[in-house]
Amino acid sequence: MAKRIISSLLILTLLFLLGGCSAGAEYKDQVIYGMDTYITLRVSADGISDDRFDELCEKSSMIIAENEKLMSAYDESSQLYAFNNGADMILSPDASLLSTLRTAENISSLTDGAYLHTIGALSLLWNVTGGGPVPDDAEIEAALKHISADSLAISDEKITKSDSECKIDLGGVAKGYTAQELVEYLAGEGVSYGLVSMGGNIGVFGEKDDSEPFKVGICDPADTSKVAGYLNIRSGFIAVSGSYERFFTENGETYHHILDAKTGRPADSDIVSVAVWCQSGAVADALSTALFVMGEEKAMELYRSGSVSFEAVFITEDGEIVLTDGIADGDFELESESYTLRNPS
Amino acid sequence: MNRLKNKFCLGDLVAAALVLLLGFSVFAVSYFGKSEGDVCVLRTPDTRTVLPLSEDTEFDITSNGIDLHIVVENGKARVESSDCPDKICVHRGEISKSGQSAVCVPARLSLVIESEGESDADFIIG
Repeated sequence: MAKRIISSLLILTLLFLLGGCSAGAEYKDQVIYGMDTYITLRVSADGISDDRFDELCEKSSMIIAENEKLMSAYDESSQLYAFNNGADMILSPDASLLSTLRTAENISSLTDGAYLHTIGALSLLWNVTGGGPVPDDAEIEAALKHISADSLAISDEKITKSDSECKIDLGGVAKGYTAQELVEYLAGEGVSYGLVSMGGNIGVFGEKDDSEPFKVGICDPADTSKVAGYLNIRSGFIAVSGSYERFFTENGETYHHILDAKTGRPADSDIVSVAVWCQSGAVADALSTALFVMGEEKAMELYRSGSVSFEAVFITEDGEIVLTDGIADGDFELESESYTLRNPS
Repeated sequence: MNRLKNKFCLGDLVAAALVLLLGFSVFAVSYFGKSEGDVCVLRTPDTRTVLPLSEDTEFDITSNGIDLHIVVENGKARVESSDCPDKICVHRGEISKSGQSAVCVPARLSLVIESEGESDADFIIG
């Protein structure tokens, strides 16, 4: 009997020891600035010299710079800037720009404009990251006349628009697209495992030394020093949209950066943060914006329709965390006691 | 052989007790305590500074032409103020868990929590 008791205790101890080893990976890190955000490259330290890591970071910086040049609405030398400011068309558009635009167009259509790549006139008007000010109703009404996705025509040969004041804004999709390009580059270079984080987007690749999934913490929107919960994933991309970081305050009111194209104002839904997990970086990025705007009920309708494949973690304004049905037991760990898990409505 | 299989001596019990003690210690530190080795790494284009989270400090810093005020207090770090236009770094609030970061893009300044032991996560986003 004594032997059984002691053996059981030793096994229990071993389980505790294993439980204490959470992330269990050795990484090399680099922070790169670009596309109006910061990018973290975190790759397996195993078998990668400092010189090799520098090479990978240098090439990654070039990929980021190229995409910024292609997709920035603010870089005066970009094709997109010229298109948004008077040019009639983009001839022979770059493949990356085309791919990003087509993903944006598709998600915009599937979400009935909750995510909208032609929202440029409205986002420029609000200038949330520049600190406002709040536009008046007439200005908002005027901008809403120039955000229709139907005014854009996209083909392999050219991109044209029927409304000269329509402006493309790829801010809600380009980072996810670039995160995916970086993940594909690093995996293709033989890096055994790692992740790329880029302004609320993260992509993972490879298999960790301990064969455990990647443990990705989702920030608690009510207290950013804490984590609301962890998603454990082996592949794919997670994009988080929340109202708590990019905002400005005027006359005591807070105005965040996720705009609702139907009202012309910051989205007012029952969600304070949403994390979307899927196998495409660009889709995850665009969908996270869309689901935030749509709110839980419409977001779940989209999920159940099966028209686009994704999983999501919603943090609601009522302090609840809602998981889509495809997130299995063990894929999500609730960390904060401030929240309760609830089944989707 | 049967004696070895079926009986424990005092040494076995002591060894078992030590393993148990070690196991529960690791568990307790991992689950209930903040590692003493947790630090906040502050990077600018020209500098890398390690700030232990166990030591309260605050200071002004200029990076890429932007003035910021950094605070480490009660095991948490934050950008208290910044001259940057978007204030995203200030809105980020406090960070304390390994993998969390607060970054001022215009200033090219980052605060990243690092742990000398096992991290809670591979990365924290949002």
